[in-house]
Amino acid sequence: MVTDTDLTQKQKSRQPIGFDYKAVARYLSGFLGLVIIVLIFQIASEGGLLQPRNIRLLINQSFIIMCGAMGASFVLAQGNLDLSLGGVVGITSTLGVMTAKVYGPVAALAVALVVGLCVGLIIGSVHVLFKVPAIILTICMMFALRGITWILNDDGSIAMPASLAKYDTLPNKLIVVGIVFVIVFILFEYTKVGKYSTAIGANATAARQSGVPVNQMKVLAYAISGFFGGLCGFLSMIRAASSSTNSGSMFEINVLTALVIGGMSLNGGSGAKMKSGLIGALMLAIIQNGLIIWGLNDKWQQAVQGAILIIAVAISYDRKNVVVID
Amino acid sequence: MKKLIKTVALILTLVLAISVLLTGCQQTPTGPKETTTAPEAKDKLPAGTKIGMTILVNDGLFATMAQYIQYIADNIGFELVLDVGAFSPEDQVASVENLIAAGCQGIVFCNFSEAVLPKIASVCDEAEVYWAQYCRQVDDPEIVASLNNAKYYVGRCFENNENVAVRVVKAFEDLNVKKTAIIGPATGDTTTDTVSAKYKALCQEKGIEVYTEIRNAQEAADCTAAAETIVSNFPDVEGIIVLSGSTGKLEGVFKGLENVNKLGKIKVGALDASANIIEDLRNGSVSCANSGQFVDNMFTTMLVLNSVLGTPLKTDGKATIECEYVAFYKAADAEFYYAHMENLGEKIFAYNLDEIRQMIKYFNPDFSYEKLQAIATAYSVEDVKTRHNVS
Amino acid sequence: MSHSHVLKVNNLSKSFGPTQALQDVSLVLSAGEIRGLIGENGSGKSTLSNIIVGIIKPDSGEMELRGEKYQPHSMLDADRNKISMIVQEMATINKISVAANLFSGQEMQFGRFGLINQRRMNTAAKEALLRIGVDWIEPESDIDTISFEDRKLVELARAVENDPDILIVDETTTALSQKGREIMYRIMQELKDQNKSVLFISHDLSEIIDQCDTVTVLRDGQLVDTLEKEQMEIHRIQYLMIGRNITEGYYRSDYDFSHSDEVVLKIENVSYDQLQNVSINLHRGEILGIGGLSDCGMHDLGKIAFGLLKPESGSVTLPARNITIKSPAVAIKNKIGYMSKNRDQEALLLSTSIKSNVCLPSLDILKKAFIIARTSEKKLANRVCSALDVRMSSINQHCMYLSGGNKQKVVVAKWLGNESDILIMDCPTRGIDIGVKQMIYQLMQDLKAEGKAILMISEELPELIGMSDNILIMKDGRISASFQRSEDLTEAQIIKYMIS
Ligand SMILES: Nc1ncnc2c1ncn2[C@@H]1O[C@H](COP(=O)(O)OP(=O)(O)OP(=O)(O)O)[C@@H](O)[C@H]1O
Ligand SMILES: [Mg+2]
Repeated sequence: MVTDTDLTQKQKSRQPIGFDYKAVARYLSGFLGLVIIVLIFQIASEGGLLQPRNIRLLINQSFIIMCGAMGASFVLAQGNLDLSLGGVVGITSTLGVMTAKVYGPVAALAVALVVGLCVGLIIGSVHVLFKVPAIILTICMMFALRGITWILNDDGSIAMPASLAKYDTLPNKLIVVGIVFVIVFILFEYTKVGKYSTAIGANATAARQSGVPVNQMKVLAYAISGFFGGLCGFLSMIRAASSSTNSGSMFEINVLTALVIGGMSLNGGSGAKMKSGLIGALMLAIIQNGLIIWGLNDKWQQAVQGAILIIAVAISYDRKNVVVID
Repeated sequence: MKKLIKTVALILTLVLAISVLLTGCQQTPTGPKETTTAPEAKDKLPAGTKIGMTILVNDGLFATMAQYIQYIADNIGFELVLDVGAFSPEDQVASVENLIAAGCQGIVFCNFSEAVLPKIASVCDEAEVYWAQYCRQVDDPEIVASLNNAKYYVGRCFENNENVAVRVVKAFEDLNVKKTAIIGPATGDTTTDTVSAKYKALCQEKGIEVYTEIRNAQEAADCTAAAETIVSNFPDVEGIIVLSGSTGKLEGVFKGLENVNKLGKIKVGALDASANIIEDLRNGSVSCANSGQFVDNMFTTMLVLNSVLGTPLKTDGKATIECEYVAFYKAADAEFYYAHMENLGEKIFAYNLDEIRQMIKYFNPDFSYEKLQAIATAYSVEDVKTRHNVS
Repeated sequence: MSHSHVLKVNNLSKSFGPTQALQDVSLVLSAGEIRGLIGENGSGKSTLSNIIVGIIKPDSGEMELRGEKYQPHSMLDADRNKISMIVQEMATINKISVAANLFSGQEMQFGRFGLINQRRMNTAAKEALLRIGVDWIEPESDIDTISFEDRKLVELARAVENDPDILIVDETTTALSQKGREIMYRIMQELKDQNKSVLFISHDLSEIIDQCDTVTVLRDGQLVDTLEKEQMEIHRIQYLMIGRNITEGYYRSDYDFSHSDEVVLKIENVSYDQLQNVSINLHRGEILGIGGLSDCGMHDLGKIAFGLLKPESGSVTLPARNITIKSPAVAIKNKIGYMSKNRDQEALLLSTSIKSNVCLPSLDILKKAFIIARTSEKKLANRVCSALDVRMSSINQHCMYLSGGNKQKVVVAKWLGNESDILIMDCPTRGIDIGVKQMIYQLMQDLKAEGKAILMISEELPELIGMSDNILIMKDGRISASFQRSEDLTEAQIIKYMIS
């Protein structure tokens, strides 16, 4: 018989020792892209990038995308996409403005969150019940929501009551991002929701066999994404002090870009990192803002932006989680 | 292998950073340096003037505007910072913020829809940066009121959009067109909405039928599809009004009509001009086009520039400058226009550099708001013919 | 039979990060030789064979094939050099037909003007399958629809089709039922008769001794010894593998089949696909073995018991709590665990850490309020992984980098941590070395003693006889016989109810 002492001895002799420098390097490489981009633009703008006033501006321009990206983490962890986010922002910011005019800001926030949540629930349920591929479904939803946004903004745009402008302050933004971060971080790293989501992304069959309620989790992930999409709608209404037929246009692309350059794996699974949204949104804002401060000819802006994005993805993409068949 | 990829990526980044830095450094000195070597130059503005401009897309009309202002900036000595592509309210706010961050003292702005304006006003007031709108009238009295209270809001410049509808209806009447349809981009854009509304009102008045209005045709391909849809659903349609011809929309409509063999048979009236407008007018693809509004942006720039230089044109209240489109009915109209008013190749414009300088108090202390208004009101083919001595 | 050297391997070494998988290994393979390769999980067997077929490049060392320097760059390269391998994990390509899998990469031999003649390819596939004696697989059927065992046979047919001089079989027999194994052995003998060579990896000592001419033993990446046929002896090989003696046999030594009368899991009149009205009662403290040929329906039965498949009729219930098992989530909530036979595809998250894999079914146990603390995850993972001696660099290592047997240990560890009352084990010791096998068998006995119930589905008769209180034998979707634990029970008694 094998005895216990035998085992522990065997264990000790076999455990390879050594500092896992690769893991540390991998962790840091998530930030490498951000650091490099900051460096490039700090030099190119002759120090203009990190002026306190400009930092405030970077936060202004990235905090909504940050919230959207963090909210979408669960959907992405499951290996799905949510392309309806722009539509959600469009409709919730419009409904938000309309509600705010009559019932005030709290009601506007509530409406935005509830509508966002409902959209997410609908997407998730249809996806699960009718087995419609999520990409197609969310694109359809995006068009539908855009259409409604157009109808609601029948004059093209609606102005927010001026009294709400006082909420558009830096501390408020930091608080909102902070709260969203804490909520999503805990959900993602320390609860079943996050762990089940990454498991689904890694291997849905195996996840199901390990007791993960796959369908429920998919619905939940879209509900979370929609909920935070609604929050983004409210925030963008406050920020732009208005809604328009174009509110939220391209938002889903910006969120996706932010997540990818932040190092999120589109295949889901354990390549899904919650911090990607934060880092990526900041990188995106820096690239857009930096190119303008830099004063580069606008024809070059597009090309340089493309080049930087490619490099950022190359650096931050977590290849370790991708099984390449050769 | 992984290490290799990472190293390559790193090297690439560095190469990019360095190369871009070098080209970037080459670009900046051209403007300011010249002015420092000749600070007393009579035809240059003092060094360090920086104006920002937001354009919705970088083609067609907006590209012309940008090139015209760039030409002016290069020659009278200020720096122009362009920001392209802001449609949603959030992006429009970001665009203005970025231009402010780039150090612009004044911003020439075009809103997509107007509810965002109070926010822009507060951003600019906070940053103490002058700004004015081009190509945009403001309808909502509340928004007008809030703009009037904004310290750094200089004013706006716009065309009489209703007259576009008037001219198209007139052209249709002349051609005996009675059954029409509308194709245009998504609602929410002030200019196209105004034209559309006026057109429908006039048609009702004059007994012209409007079968349908297809909005949300954002791209050339959408316009092609829209034209085909209209013809197949209303085979007896005789005329189509196309709101906004930029980014190939008008060409898209032509393509659609050609596909169903109706090009030239169905008359087209347009808000903007197509790329080959001379040809299109000649062969009857289009019967009435409206163009020439690129100067609008220049007037706005003058408003902002004068304020930035500490010599505002209007000290009491906000400026409103209105000008008229240049209408094309025949190929000859367009030929003249592209030779003498908007000739990007030879840099011949409706207003030459000397005339521009006269619009800036720094060069011409006698200039005034009323004079600018008068210049704008006079803007027409005839006006250019007399000023520039051409025929 | 000439003994010319076909393949010479000189001083191969390979390390993965801090793990030294292979160290200075040299061996010579002769024509007409069936060489066994044996060693504990993670001892480097797959690494060695992967190097020979060019999937992995060695850090140092060289190879010689038929007297010439041999440096394969890919499996295709090895194919061209007439070396074929059946890998340990599943290697078929999903979502395409059996025939397309059989000829993937060589479709063009049926091509004309860039189009593939599907019918000709199917006919050729049918012939190839018949050549190895498999007449039950239809070449047109989708590979996903056929069983795990059959997919392995398709891989075998594919390898044979290549007419290899050297065939490498990496830990495949445990995926096969008796019938499949016999096909495998026959083909190995045929190759040997044609003066070709076979490198045969297995954890089954008696199989190695029966089939191989020589056996090479690896331990911790090093070659320990190579034995000739006459030197082969179970205890000697065991000693060489582990470095110490396993004194007792590893199955249960008692013949006490008693267990509580309480039925904990009731499968009633279940029909599904070919399963017809199968009823099974699993009792508290019982180890119930289910045996049969791979396609007899027993694997589906396991899935149905866990709620993974919905039976066409009949039900699975927990009589004590009056609960019907409708989904795996319900099953797990009621403390049922399930180990799939198809571990890479169904039981593991390959690109995820060992820790996450192990903790996944146990999150409900680990959570306090709704928070799952990192430390409790680590504690659980470390506990169960060391109990099963998983060889890994740390619990954060991704499962895809584990050796086949160690992956299986992670699957077992997962349900060990889950504290399940009922365990459904489908081929629980697939690819596991003798040392760990013994541990798992001991574990099963401990669980039985604690009053837990185990439903063990197995294709290995010795395992069924050695471990079960009761054995049910299935044939063509029905239970054809049942046996009680007894000293006198033999394989021969059982086999006749499985076949014919
Ligand atoms: N790609 C890899 N990355 C990191 N470690 C690896 C990799 N492949 C194998 N290893 C490690 O190398 C060692 C040898 O693995 P190998 O697969 O050769 O074992 P094996 O003898 O085939 O075991 P088994 O009987 O379990 O199949 C193991 O410790 C394993 O974890
Ligand atoms: Mg192996």
